[in-house]
Amino acid sequence: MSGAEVVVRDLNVVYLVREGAIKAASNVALRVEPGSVTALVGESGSGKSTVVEAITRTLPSNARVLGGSVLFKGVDLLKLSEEEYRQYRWREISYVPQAAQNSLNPLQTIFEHFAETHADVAGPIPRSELYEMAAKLLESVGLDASVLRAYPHQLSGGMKQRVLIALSFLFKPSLVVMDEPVSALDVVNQSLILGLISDLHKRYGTSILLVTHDLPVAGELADRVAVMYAGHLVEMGGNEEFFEEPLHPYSRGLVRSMIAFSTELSRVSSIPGEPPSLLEPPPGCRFHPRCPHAMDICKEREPPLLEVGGGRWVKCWLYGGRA
Amino acid sequence: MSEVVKLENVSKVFRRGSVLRREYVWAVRDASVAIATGSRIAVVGESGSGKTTLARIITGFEKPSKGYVYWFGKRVDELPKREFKELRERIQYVHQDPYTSLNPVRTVYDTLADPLRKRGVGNVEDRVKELLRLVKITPPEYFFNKFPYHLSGGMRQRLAIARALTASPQLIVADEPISMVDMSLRVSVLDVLLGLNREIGLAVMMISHDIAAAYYFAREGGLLYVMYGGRIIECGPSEKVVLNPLHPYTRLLLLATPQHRRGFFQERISMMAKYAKSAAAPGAGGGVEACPYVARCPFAAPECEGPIELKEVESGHYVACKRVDALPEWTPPPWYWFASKRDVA
Repeated sequence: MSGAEVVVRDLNVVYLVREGAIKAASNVALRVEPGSVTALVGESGSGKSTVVEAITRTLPSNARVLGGSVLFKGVDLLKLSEEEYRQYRWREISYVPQAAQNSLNPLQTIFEHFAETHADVAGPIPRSELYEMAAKLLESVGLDASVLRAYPHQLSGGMKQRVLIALSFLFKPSLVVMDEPVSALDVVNQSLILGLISDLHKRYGTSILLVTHDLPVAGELADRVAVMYAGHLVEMGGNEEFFEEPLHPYSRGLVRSMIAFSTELSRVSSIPGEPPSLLEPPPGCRFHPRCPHAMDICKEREPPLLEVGGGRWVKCWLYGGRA
Repeated sequence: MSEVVKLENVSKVFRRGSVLRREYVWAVRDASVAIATGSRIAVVGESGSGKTTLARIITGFEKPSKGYVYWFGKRVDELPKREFKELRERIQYVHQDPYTSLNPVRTVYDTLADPLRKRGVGNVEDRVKELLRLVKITPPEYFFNKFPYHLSGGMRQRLAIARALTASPQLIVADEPISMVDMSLRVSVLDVLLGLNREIGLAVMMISHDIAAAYYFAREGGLLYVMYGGRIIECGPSEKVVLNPLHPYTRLLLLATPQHRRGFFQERISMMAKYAKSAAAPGAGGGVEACPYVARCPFAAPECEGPIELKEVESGHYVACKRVDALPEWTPPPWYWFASKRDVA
């Protein structure tokens, strides 16, 4: 088994709330290359979770997909019925949601989690066989097989996150989607778990879509980086090229605001202004109110996502495109 | 230089459990800290390291179980109630969560004007403008009638800082001021705190779990304190701590901090393994007197179980480790920006 390609086109998702419709993802295009680690980066409210929830069909009930497609192995996932999608869940696409540590059932041992998931997806198998399988997966995330007998409350946050990552590889899916897999952990555990993700990726060749607000984390782990701002996907490209020379003015600001020992701290600066409300997002490019290069056209028309060569894409009028 | 706050061998113990199964948790152990007028201090530690309890003792929200706290040279536990209240005004605490610490039905103007009026400040409007300018919420008049929900997290946090300034404090203690703020706006909060220190000479203590952010704040002239298991395990001028870390845990923390360049990842993790025995969950090991890092420390020796204290190893740079000499030589990791610029030290 190897990694699958995912192509998201023109995805539009809104959330219906009392005040109106929150335009959480607008005309989003995204490509996860087969076998790559793709980091989807953005600040809170940028729509990154919405995009992965659309891919994994886990959007909350007040969300409406207004249009677009999510192509996975030639099939548009958005067109599948809930029953049809079940063939994909866990087997082809597994999903580790944000704060997933809390999603373990406190009344079940870790082994029962593995057993139940297996029974649900592929029917029950002999206990001993499953035990062996689960123990091997746990070993690959640095946990002892004795953890299988433990209840969630007996494990630390880092251990629970490891269990969930192991569980997501139970059926060796071709795509694993992880939403902020390390944001709730201390820095030491963060590094160790990112290391495990990288090892698992190398071992199984799975495509990984990693959602993170943490730019240094994306920089260390990802082959490709995609950036979202206020519901728009504004830039997508290879890791080195992205950090070397971010193209979109928002990406430039984001990279410049990064505080890390690998950056020159005296040059760090924040992006003036603040993200817009997605109930009534600004017309045109949603970054234009904060953009130092804003032109008239930016205020009126939404720029297309333009291919600029070298496998890089940018949604900005500075790089041309027909008005 | 006089001191705003001084802690002398302060410990704080919390009791938990029933009478029969009483447990004692030493949140802070034997901490001595002096905060000089106009100084800048960053405290770094993971959750459970005692950094918030330390901040609450400094600001008078908690009484120490052992040791003494001095405000402006006076022992806090001996202060008459009125003087306690007066002095406490001079030491302000800024809360981590700007989404709950501001009153949602009060405008920006009233958030600052009400406490100013209460404190009998004249010319309230001018002072409000001045405070908003200090925290870079400009133009001030534009924001007068906005409510907190109109503001981004970064701006809310800066408004909370401005509110703390209405008391004309000599010290601001900001507890994780950027952990709930979006990345692109974090620098704006840190820069405002830095500015208050540099421009109006206010003493500022910033607490963070992120050693890169802590260093950003304390660089060039500030002090960096590293806490683990309730103890200050290393402290000193920020450049000395970051470029010549002497405690194995400080080194672990520096190595664990993500950097944005690819290709160093495996190296970073294998270097971490030199300074921590296992992936064991962080926590305080050993007895109350002992080094809290002893259970995770690959350099631990029997002597580490005995009482531990901070010792000065170079001017102003203190470390609480008996095995300092056993540690390997430290060179800044190759991914450090200043690895290529050794002259920073």
